[in-house]
Amino acid sequence: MLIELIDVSYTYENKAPHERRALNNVSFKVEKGEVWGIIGHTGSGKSTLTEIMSGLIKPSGGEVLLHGEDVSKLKNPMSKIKGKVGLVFQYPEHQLFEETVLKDICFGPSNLGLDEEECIKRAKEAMELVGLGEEYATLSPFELSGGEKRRVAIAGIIAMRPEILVLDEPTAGLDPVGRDMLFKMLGDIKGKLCESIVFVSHSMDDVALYADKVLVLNEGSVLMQGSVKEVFERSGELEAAGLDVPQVTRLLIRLNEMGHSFDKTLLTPEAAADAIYERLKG
Amino acid sequence: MLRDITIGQYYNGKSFVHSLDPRCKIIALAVMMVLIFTAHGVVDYAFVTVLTCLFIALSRVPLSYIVKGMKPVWLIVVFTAIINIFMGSGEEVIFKAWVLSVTKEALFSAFGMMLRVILLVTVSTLLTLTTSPMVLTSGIERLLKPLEKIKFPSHEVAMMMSIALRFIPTLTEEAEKIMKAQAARGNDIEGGGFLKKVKGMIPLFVPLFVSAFRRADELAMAMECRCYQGGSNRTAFKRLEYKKCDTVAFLFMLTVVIITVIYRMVGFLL
Repeated sequence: MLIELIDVSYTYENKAPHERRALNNVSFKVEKGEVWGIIGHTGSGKSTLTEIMSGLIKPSGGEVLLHGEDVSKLKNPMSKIKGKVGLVFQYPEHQLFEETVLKDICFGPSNLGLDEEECIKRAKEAMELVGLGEEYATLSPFELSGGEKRRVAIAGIIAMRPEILVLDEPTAGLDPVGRDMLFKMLGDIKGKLCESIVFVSHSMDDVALYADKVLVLNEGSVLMQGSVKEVFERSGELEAAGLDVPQVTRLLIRLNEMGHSFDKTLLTPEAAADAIYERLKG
Repeated sequence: MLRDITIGQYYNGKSFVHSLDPRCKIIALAVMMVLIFTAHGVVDYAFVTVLTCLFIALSRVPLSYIVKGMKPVWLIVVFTAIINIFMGSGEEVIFKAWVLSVTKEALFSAFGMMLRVILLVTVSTLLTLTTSPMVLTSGIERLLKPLEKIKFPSHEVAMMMSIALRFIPTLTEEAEKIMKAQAARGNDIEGGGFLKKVKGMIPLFVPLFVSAFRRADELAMAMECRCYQGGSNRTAFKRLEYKKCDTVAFLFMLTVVIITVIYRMVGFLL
């Protein structure tokens, strides 16, 4: 197991007037090789959870175990987690600041105390993984397009070679093509650099297609967690909490209501199309 | 930590102070500032302190909210106090060490300075806490109107001020986000020496400036899309009107001023 959260709670602004419980006894663990999707409404605590995982904020209660060691009670959890859990924020392109793309990507690794040669090596490797060619290295990050900037920002995190890559709404503001490319890229990264990926998303379809496991948050508490199939099978509960189910699932449920009997745990449009085709054929 | 800055924020509530006309409140603030600045002597200090406390009570803004707003100015307050304690002159020496000496007069003046800064910040915070930025702008604009005779762009100035005020919370939020994003990349501004701290600020300031310019650009575009054109012949959606409570407030401030003037005249003459 890479990282495990046990009964983690978090309260914003411990003192009045704005006390707000962001997380309530959340427990879940990420194993090696897993891709987790975290879904929930705005304000359900998704972003807070990512910040706790990466050690940016300390939980008000509970434990965060990294390789079995509790890091939540440390005075500076960052020092232990640094480089092990990489967090890509929402709209990460807003954090770029260096003169050139290469220098910006080197910022993370150099903060890990690596020498220049190693930083550049890692930066180039990261650039290749996110699909930025050599010619980008000397450009200013501010002259790039939005999608390219985002890839630079992600490269800046993966150049630190984190074991777990955590992304907060990585597809926000991207078109469908950009979204597909991003997830394909994440697949490449997972195979080569990071062992696990956790991403926050609004889109059930993204989660159904790209995640192995799902954590559903509702008002700071875990509504359900498990494999994608297990979670989307309980579509009734999801809808009761005001959350969507993937479009494919919705279609299959509708067909079942009309008297057919499809396996509603089919998650990709292709698999569903095949099943329907088979049925039509006879 | 940055979130604690309440200067320029509006506290939504219903109270006597909230319902006052912005012009009335701005004038009252100006009067209060003069009173606070010119105060010296125990009676003066007590008087302005009581007045400020009265305003806080009338505004029904929780005290904790105002105290939190003081946080960023604490350093200035303490700094002024220290300078005043050691630099002041006077006869009654209480404490002496090396070239530094503390006199009773200096101690008193340091206390006065501290009190002044705290009260000044409190009353100005109170204005923005009880007046929404839009209303505040129209108040400022209306008060500056007479200056248009000498080609002073009162509307534009008021608009700039309100935009600046409006963006304080937005930019602090943004700064906090960028701070976290860079911390996630291992940027460390807590530890290390002065030079390292300054170096750690670059990754914060560059993106913050970039985003401030981007926001300004977007705002300008959005305003132009809605055909915004400076101040000439603009009418207001919500027109300011003096109400009974404004008269009450004006009379109260007038009484305060008269009392102060009489008290100081008497003190001067005796």
